[in-house]
Amino acid sequence: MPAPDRTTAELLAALCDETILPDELRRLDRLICADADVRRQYVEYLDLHARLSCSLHRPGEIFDKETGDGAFESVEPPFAVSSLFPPRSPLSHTFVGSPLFSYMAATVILCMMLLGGWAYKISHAPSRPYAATYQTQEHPAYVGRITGMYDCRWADSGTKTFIGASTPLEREYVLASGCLEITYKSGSRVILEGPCAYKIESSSGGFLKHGKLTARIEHQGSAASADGAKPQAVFAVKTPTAAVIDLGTEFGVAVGENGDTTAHVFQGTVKVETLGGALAMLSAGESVLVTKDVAKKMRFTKPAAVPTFVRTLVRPIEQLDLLDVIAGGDGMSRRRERGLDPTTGMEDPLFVLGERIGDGKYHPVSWHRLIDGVFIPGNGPMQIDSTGGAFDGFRATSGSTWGSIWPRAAETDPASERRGWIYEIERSEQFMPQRLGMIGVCPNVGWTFDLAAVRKMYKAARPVRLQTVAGLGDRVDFADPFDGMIDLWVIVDGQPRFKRLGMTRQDGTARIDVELKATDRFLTLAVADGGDGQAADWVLFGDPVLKLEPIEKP
Amino acid sequence: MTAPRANDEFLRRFVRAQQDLYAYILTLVPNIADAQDILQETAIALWGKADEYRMEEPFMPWAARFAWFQVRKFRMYQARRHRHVVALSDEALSALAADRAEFESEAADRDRILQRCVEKLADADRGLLAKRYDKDISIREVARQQGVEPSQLYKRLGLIRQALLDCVHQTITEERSK
Repeated sequence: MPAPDRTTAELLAALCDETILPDELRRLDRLICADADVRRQYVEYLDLHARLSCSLHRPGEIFDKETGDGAFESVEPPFAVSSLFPPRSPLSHTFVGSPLFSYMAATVILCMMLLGGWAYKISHAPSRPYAATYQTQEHPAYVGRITGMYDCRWADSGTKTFIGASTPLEREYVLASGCLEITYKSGSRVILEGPCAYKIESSSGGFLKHGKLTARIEHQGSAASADGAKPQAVFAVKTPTAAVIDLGTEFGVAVGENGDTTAHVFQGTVKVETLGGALAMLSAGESVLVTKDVAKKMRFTKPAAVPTFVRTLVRPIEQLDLLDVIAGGDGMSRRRERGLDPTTGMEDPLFVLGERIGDGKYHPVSWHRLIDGVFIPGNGPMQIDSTGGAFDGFRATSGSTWGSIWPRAAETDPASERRGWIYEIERSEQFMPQRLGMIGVCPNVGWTFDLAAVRKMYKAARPVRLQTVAGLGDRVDFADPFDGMIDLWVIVDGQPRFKRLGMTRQDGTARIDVELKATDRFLTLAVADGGDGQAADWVLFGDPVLKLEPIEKP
Repeated sequence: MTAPRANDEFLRRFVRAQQDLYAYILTLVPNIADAQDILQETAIALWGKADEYRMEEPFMPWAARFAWFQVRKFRMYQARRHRHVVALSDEALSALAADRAEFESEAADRDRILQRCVEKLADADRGLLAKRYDKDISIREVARQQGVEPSQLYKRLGLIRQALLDCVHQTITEERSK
């Protein structure tokens, strides 16, 4: 039998990893209530859990330094808005465009930027949880954290760092290649682009010996605030020949091997001061080159060409969630429980149960950029995309379907008012091992995604595979005299890439993994009655995703 | 203070305090996704009540009220929606929160110390830890990739965390003895 403290440690590990069993949780609860040592152990363990989570988990950033996954992109990461506030529809412009939204979005982006965490501590008294017992403490030796890495190769093989690592004063980062993002406690951020050498000299700047960086500055005002924040010094990047001093927002600095310094302003204003004391003020879009002349005197010239700078590190998007797309999202916002009317392409706010009769026509979906249209397979050739592409492989059907194209969440509330077969599926986990959810449909139905629109929306990546687990579902406590039989189709630009004809419930699930090419335009999923009528044909596409691959930049 | 400047200041204080809020919430609700959801709700609630915040008042105690409320709201929601879910009792949470308050005085240097301890981990262990706290990949998926049982990785994670705690304790002891 394990020692008591070991048992507690195991319980705490299971609690953090969500593998704890109900009985174990009850036992832990009793221990917490009865034993001060266990409470101490719990608090320390959960504190560690929180710190690791804060340090290592930051949505939307490049994380995997081992594989070097990542890409450069000059757009704001899409995760930020969708992760803290209600998901946005591609059509929802009213709120998105509002000043309130902008401010909230800015808040959220900053939140996620800084989720890497600063060393402020919190204390909490349960009997008076809102009492003013909170203190903030800073460790003076650390000025920020590593908040992004992309394919970092170090000039010194002994260099070891990782996302979330603190950045101490006087630390020099010498990159042979790749990019490193450092976010200062002030919120100011620099992106180093290898090869380069950058030393952190203060809490508000550093020394760029050679190479390139981009700095984006978050001003915190010049006066101490009421909660004790220190006044912020002006952010400055020093180089062998100059100091580039921020007067607002974003700029790039490039230092050649000879020390020549090029400063370029993206937003706001900077002051460039040479070692000799000469000054130049630059505004957005302006550049200057500081060189040494033959007499080793500094002088300003106009650079022949402005260097390119990496301005944002963005974690590559690995997959698009097709449940979210069907529900009106952009594939990243985890929408569910809002479907499509397969006979019109309009939104279904509720899961519809009744029969729907097709008109034999293709119905383009104009309200969603990623969904091209819907159709009901009938008799003969069927148009399956908005450019007129047709497919004549469907067997003759009744020309009707039942209900919605419905993206069901993995977890549903049994006590909710929702009803219909989609909420009564037995062993649904076989369709959604990743617990993303399931698209539920009844034959005869088809819908088409616009892959070109996906590539246009997500410029840094392209869809390379469609993956889902499909089949006929069983309903809980529902004895249907019919077994059900269906034809499953995945069609790309009119050509079948996957088909399963006459699939029955006894066939179990079919894992669909279809390769997509860079030139593919339309991706169609269709289900037709397998020849025995539509009864009991409850068709599910579980965990449906488009896997994406970063587009290599030349 | 004009409204935009007040907004700026509020935003700054919120950004500074948000990790505190997150850690606070995660201690009471150990699931990372749930804690983030509660942080989101707290952020929205805070923003909705920004007008009521007085700038001369410390931000954290004011904000923690909202976080505490959201934690309770989440627990009620969870109890109602997922009746089968067993959670820690209110009594246990209150006791934990009391001990957490006492723990704060010792926690000041833990970020720095933990940082050093993480750096001492073997690359594979640090990689596993990173994957555990990366929401885009599950331990089950990592196990599948590595061809091992998830239980092996969970056990390894438990050992890594315990090793980190031991390292933190040892470092604190060493620093105090200097």
